[in-house]
Amino acid sequence: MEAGGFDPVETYKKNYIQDGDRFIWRDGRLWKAHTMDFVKAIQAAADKFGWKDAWKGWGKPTWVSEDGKRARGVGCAIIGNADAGEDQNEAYVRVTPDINGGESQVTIIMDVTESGMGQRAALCKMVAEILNVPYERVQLTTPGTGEHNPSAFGLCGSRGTITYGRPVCDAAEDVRRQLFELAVPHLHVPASTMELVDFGVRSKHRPEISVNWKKLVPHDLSITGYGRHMETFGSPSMCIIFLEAEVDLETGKSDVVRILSGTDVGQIIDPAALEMQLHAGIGSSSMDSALFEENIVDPATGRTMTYNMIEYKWRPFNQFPKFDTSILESHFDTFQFKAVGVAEITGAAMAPAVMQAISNAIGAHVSQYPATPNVVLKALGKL
Amino acid sequence: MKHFEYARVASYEEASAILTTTDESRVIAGGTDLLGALKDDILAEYPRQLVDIKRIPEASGISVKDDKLRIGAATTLKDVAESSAVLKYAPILAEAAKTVATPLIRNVGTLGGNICQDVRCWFYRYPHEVGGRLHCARKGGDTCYALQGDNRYHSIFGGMKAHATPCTKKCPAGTDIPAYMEQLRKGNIAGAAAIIMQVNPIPMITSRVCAHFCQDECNRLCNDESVAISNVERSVGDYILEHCDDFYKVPETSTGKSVAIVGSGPSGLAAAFFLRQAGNDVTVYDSKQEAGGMLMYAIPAYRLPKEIVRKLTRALAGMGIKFVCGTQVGKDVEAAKLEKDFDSVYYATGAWKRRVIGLSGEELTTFGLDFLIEVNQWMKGKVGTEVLVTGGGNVAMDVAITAKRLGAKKVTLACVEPRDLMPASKEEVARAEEEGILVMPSWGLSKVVEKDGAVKGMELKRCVSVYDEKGRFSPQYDEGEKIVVNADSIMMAVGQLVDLSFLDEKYKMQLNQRGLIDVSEDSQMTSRPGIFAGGDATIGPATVVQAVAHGHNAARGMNRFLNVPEHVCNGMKKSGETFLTFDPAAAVKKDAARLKELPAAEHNIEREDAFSLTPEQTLEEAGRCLNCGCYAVDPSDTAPTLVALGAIIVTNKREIPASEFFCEKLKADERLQPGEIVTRIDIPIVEGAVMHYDKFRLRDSVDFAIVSVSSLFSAKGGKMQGAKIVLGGVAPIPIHAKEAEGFLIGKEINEENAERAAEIALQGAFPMSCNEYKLVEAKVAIKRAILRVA
Repeated sequence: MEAGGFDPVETYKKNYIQDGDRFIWRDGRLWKAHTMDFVKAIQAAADKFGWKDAWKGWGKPTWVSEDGKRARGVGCAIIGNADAGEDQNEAYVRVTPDINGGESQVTIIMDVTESGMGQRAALCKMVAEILNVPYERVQLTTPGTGEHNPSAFGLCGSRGTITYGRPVCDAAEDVRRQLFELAVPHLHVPASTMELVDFGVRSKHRPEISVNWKKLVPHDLSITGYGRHMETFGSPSMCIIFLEAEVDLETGKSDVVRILSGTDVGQIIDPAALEMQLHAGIGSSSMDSALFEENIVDPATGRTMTYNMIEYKWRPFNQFPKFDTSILESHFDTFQFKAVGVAEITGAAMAPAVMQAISNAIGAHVSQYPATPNVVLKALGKL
Repeated sequence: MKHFEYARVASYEEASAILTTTDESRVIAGGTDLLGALKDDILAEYPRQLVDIKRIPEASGISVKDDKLRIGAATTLKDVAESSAVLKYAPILAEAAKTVATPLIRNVGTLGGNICQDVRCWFYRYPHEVGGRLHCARKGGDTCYALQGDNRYHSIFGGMKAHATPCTKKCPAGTDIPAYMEQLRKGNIAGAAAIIMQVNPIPMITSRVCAHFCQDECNRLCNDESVAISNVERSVGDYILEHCDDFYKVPETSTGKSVAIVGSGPSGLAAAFFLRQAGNDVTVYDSKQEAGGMLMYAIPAYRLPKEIVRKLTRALAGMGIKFVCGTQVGKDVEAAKLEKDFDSVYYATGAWKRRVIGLSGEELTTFGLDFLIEVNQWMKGKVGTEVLVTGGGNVAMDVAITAKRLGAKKVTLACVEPRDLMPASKEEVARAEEEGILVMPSWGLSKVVEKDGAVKGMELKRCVSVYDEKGRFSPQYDEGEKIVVNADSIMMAVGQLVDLSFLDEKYKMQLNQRGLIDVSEDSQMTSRPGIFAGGDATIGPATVVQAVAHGHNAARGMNRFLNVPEHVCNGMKKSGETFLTFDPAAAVKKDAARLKELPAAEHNIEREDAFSLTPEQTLEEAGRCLNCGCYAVDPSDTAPTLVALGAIIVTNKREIPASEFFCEKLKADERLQPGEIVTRIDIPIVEGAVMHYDKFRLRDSVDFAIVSVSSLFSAKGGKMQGAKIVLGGVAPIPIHAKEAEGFLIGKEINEENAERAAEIALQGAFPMSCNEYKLVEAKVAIKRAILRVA
């Protein structure tokens, strides 16, 4: 792109994977992307960031201070991953009517771990929606209790949206199908005209006729549905990073002053968690791999010198830059909830975007990670 | 963490009493530095007792009294940063305190702790559980890992000596090797020579013949080859010999004291030099025709040309030292007479006597040393066609090589020691083998094979071990494994004895269990007041450099005895220079400089085998010396600020100016006396100054300063009237940029002058392989601090 003087945004728009594009993924098989189209998302993010005005071309600063001692540059990098459908998982969803009262407990039996991305909560929400029960009535088994849970990958990261979403939705739909079948003798309407409401089944056309699950489920027993996901690589994800970096041209110290993270995740299941996932792209081994975060091995002793959090430089919270997001909500043909995961990839494009922004700010190519003052001063010819 | 005792004290007296009486006790206040160090177990010695001073009532608090801001040592950094008094009277200190680490640390960390904290060097702090702590120079080890490792955060002003380096420690004479290497790198060969001459007046000789123990533990050996110290020393020695008049000067004043030295070997010559240098009247006696002792008579010329010894003795004679040769004490002159005629006497008579080991047929063998003396006197001795030399030391090697070069058809060398324990230096053994000598280690002597009173060979028996479990010489043999080596001549070089027969009955001197003269270690004085002894006569056969060390020690002892001022011996301390430097570019060279040697075919017994290094090679090799010390930086944010403020560090024992407290010693432990605790910091109130603490680091919190600038300026009409600039994070101690301050006074505050001042402040800087950027950061920070005043 730099050699051709191309605007990276235009290049990404023309070259990013789109519906119908064929590609061979790392499993060696030929796949075809379907329903995914990120051009709009790329453009929306660029517009929100103000890329058109900020981008002055390769090696050109966006802004230089009056005294000429500070300069800013913008950078833009993109990441996609067809692994969004990797990992085979299975799940049970079990409905257990209360002994007293007319409510039921819904249990998802699945091996799902949580590392802060809100995956377990999202799965409960999906099942709550399909069975039309309050979120609080859905629980998910504790992960890691191997012999009790069905097979699953554990922590699937961004893949979990599809690869866990599909099994739990299928299992919940399996439960719903069973309830509808059990309700036929009670409601005398075809299953296709039934809906779930208030822990019961009712006719869509004659809402006054309904039956509680407690009546449908055999006494003291429960109903269990089963669902599974078979690996597929046809639904890639996308995250594009726009950012502006400021470089002190005398000290060589650089920092990011604003970031915009853009994506299209399909249907949004948890807006707050999604926003946080995008913020988390700053994360570890992400943006700051371009600034100061580094695993340093001493060449003489062969020892890792970054053995504590003083030497291993993680960004402290008081040093967070302005962060904006641009999220489109297409409906991708992935599974019941039309979504694709994103969390895992939100950091991947940060570091190259920073390097691009620094290079543009100082008008010299910087490619050594991280671009510490030492590296930038060398690029500036001051060392 | 390991177990330790913990005492919470109510007064400094109590704390001091515990610290003085309990070994391995440490003060704790905030604990943010100490506990981390203990958890990571970075020090081999672990404190047994912690003394918590935080609850001492007067330890915390900030007040203003007598125009001084007084801050208790246990005041937290948060309180310092937020105190209205500090903000008003010393805002720079509040700024500095606020940049320390994180709010969590500042809530408990104290000002006293901040100024006494240990370095953050990542080698020094390396956690023990992650592959073992690094025993660096600062911890009493030998090396600074930053010298060859990743030193991006280390000093740009050089290191500081933590203690003597292994090369100096291994040198019996205690030569400050890194110091003279540094002088060579600076192009000052005369300065290098002067440093060596402080402890060794015959480097042209020691460099050629000494076993150079100094190279055995050179820190370079961890990665490549030791610095070729002896080869560099040889060049300096040659220089000294070429400039004799500069180094062997007639003393300017006379002490009126006279001393006699018996024996003109290395020990006698060294003593003579130092004694004469001090202004004494010195007379040296020797039984041989020429001065030099073993140097002249025992060491073959191919290793030490005799002309060098003669030049040296001429130079010494030029100083006014009188040589009386061909005079044997005990025969030609009585020992008692010397004592009567001179104010003091030094015996350095060496070890020349044959050692008889009680072997059958031993009388038919030749004493190797006699052979060498013969050779050196007449050059042409008679050697048989097949020669066996016994012994594994350098004398044995000399004998074997000399015999071979004189035309022996076959020379075999047998010794009891296995190859790796042979006392001869590896180079000498290698030289012997190169010349075609068959070396047979681990063979002891059984008996001489004779026929009709003529030597036919020697029966050897297998030696299975040389030393007993206590390390004493106690060879054990396998009598079942024997071999006969045919030889027409057998040279015995299994050690020499000390001959003290010149000391008659009337002239009693205490001897030790080994029959050697007993002397005091610190002065070489014998049991007779004013009579000194040293060299082989006191310890048995040893090395030339050991003899020199004794001569030096004796000269100091004798001068003390004679009430003559001792000569200054400060190779360790270079006047006006605090920091150690090396040459990062030259230091990467892996191979040591080797002497150019004559082709083997041209070897003979008269001409020296090897040539000295060229001046370029010498300089290049000196560049390989890493000048080992501690190259970590003072991590404190408040220490440089307190220096800039002219603060006083008050302890329970005294008051110390901050500049002295921080800028003279390497470690906080060394700055305080036993039982001494920092109790308060007094800061004189400075009016009308613009003062700021600027800290350059990668992250806005957590990080220590890569570079910090504490500055106080006062200006009027755009001109600088007063300036104080102290740099932190750039050297083992805060750097007070006095010259830059001087430059600024009266100058207009503009970009050009600011830049010039920054240049001046960094003039002595010496970046290492990965930290040149710190130089730029420091300059920019100074420049900006100055321009801010405008």
